[in-house]
Amino acid sequence: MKSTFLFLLFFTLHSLVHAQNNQEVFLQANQAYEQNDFKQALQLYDSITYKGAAVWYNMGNCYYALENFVDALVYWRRAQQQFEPKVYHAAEPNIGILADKTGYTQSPSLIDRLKKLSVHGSLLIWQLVFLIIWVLLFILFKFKRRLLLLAANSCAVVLLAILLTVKYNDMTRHYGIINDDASLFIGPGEHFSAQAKLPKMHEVVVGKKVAGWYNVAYADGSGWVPVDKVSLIN
Amino acid sequence: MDKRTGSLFLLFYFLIPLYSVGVQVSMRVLNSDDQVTERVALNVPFVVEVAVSDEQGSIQTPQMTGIKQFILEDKGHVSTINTIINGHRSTKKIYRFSVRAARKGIFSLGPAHILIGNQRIRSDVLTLTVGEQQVTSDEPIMQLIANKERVIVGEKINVALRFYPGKSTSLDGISEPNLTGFSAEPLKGPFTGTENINSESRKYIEWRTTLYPQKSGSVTIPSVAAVYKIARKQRSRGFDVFERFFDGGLQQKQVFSNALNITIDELPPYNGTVDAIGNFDSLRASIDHSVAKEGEGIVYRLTLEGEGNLQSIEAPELTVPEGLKYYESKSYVNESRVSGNQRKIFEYILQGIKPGTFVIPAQLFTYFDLDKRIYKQLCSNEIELTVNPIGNAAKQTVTQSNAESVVAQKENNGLMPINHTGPWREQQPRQIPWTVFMVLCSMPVLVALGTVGRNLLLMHREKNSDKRKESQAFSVAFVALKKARKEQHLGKLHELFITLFAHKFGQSNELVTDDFIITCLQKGATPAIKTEWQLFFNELLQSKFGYQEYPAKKKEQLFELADQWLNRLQELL
Repeated sequence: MKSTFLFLLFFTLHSLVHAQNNQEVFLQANQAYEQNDFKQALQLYDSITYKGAAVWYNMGNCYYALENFVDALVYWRRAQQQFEPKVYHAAEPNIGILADKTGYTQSPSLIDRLKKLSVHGSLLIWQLVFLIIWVLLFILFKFKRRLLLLAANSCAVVLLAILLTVKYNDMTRHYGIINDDASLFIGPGEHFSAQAKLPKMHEVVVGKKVAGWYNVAYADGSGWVPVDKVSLIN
Repeated sequence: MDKRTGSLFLLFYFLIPLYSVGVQVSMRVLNSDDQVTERVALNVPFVVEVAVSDEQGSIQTPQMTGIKQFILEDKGHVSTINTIINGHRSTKKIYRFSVRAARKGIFSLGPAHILIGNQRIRSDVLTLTVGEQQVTSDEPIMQLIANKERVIVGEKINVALRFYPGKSTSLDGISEPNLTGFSAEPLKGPFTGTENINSESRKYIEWRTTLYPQKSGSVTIPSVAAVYKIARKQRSRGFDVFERFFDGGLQQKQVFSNALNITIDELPPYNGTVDAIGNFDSLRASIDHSVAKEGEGIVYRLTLEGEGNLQSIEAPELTVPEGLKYYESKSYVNESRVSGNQRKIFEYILQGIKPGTFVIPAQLFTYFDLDKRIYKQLCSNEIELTVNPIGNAAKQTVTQSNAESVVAQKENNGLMPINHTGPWREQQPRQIPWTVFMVLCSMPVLVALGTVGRNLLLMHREKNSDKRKESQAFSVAFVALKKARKEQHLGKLHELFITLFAHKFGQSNELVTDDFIITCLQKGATPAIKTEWQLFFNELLQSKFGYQEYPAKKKEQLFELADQWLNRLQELL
């Protein structure tokens, strides 16, 4: 009993100290960034274990300042993948600025718009809202109250179901950024024919990996690109 | 015992002098060409070489009388030479001291001496003349030149290292000057030029630097060596081919420059903080945002333009109004695009602690003007800064006077500012596990489906109850008979047949009468059977409603009859 208590005490203290150190490093890195010492700031951010959305986002800013635009995009997107609304919305205009600066454009799809919408609440909130609306639909159906209300509720259920599906996909899929202009091959190897060109900084959904090649998908199709051409977001 | 100790002492007493008789100490002075000399140049290093021959054991470094008159630059380089001639082994240990003379004159050096046992072995005494460096037109020259020999602390001194090549010489390199006591800029060069020396035009190669003395007093910059190659004067003919093959017939030599003595004076007294020494033209203040949020960092710059040791000037302390605080950020030196002058930019981070409009007052910069030899002050411009409360960012406006200022929400590069508040630590997304979520979602569906199914089942049952009753009428009747028989309850037999006809023909029990049953039997039964049925049914009526108590045998007969009639009716109906 005593040893268990001591272990728990040690574990708690260790966690607290560790967290404190990381927070200090985070603040030091911020200070280095403010002093335009971006390389130092990057080193400090990188030394933080279990990086959160703010760390990824700030690292993106550092890379942008160092004119490493591909990594800036990768880190901002990585920050967004943490689904922290404040950070997500801070990264959004930065990616826009980056797009203006580099000429990289990827027109947002309906799914992208839904993703933005889904960031307004945590997954738990959306799940609970869906459950409430879903149960309400059955209650309304059971008691046959107002048809208009039933129709509205049905629409809400459908919308929330799509939103949850998008969010679930977003959380479980792997994304990557093409870090250099790359050809999209129809198979995992250069002996396969190239079917399209993927421009630098294009975002793709990364699938399975076979012998140094990633199966990637994007709005207009899918294919294979060498692993070194893709910087993984998550 | 005492006798033996005394004998050993006597033995040592006689042996040590015999041993030290073979030890010799010699001393000589060598110039930069490794030639023995009695004349050396002022502040030019030379070598004092002390050789101890036939020394067998390990002894201490030889001591030299009079060496303190000179500056010891290198405290000794030791080499040992062992020779065996006709089986006789001899050893020579050579100590070399690099020394320079800081004063002109004639000096006595020596003797060098070592102590072996209780005997001190001494060398000869040398006489050394220290004078100006002798320069001949053929030999290369190295010179250390300064534009000032008397300065004030922090005053700029231009120093040049100049090498005049001799005939058939090629420069290999120069040694790093020892600039202790100065803040020095890196050596620049080489530059080339010509100069008249003893009415002879000579080319030179020059390196330049700028020095800023850091403390008062007399500081000597020691001579600097230049290493060069020159053709050998004497060649051994036998090895001429090999020499040419290996070194091209060149030998490496070095030449030393003069030393520089610089007198550094203190600054005149001043009641206050002196920020710099030099000739400065302007001090300007600027900020990157004229409107900011409470707590937001704003870069405040002070740009100092002029001539002086800009690198070593520290950021002056700022005077800021209450409600603002500042931190020193960074400082750097660059060249003004407008005037082409060197300038130093000091950056500070200003933060508004409370909202309001603040005027950052003119900053003062005190320096010692080297031209006029007086203290002067530079004054910057005032800057107005508006600090908005947090949450009022939308009201921020950009002042037109500062064309470079941008919306305070964004950084200079247009990016959103970095995140200071976190989350800096990865957070697991809060969610209901997807499997649990799917189960929860399916619950209302299951409930609804269950309700619908139940209703459908009930409807189906209701719809098919008559048919079911019809098809099951006899089986139900047989079960009821069995039950009545078991209970020996004759009264139930009547009800049993009523129910049978009711189910079979889809009527309620109340509507089944004798006539109804006869009508039902009309189709398949003969009149005899009908009569028999009439008798049987009357018997059942009596058994139910009559007061007659039937004996057991009679009861059994009736139950048997009922069974037979059920079978017959099954065939008939």
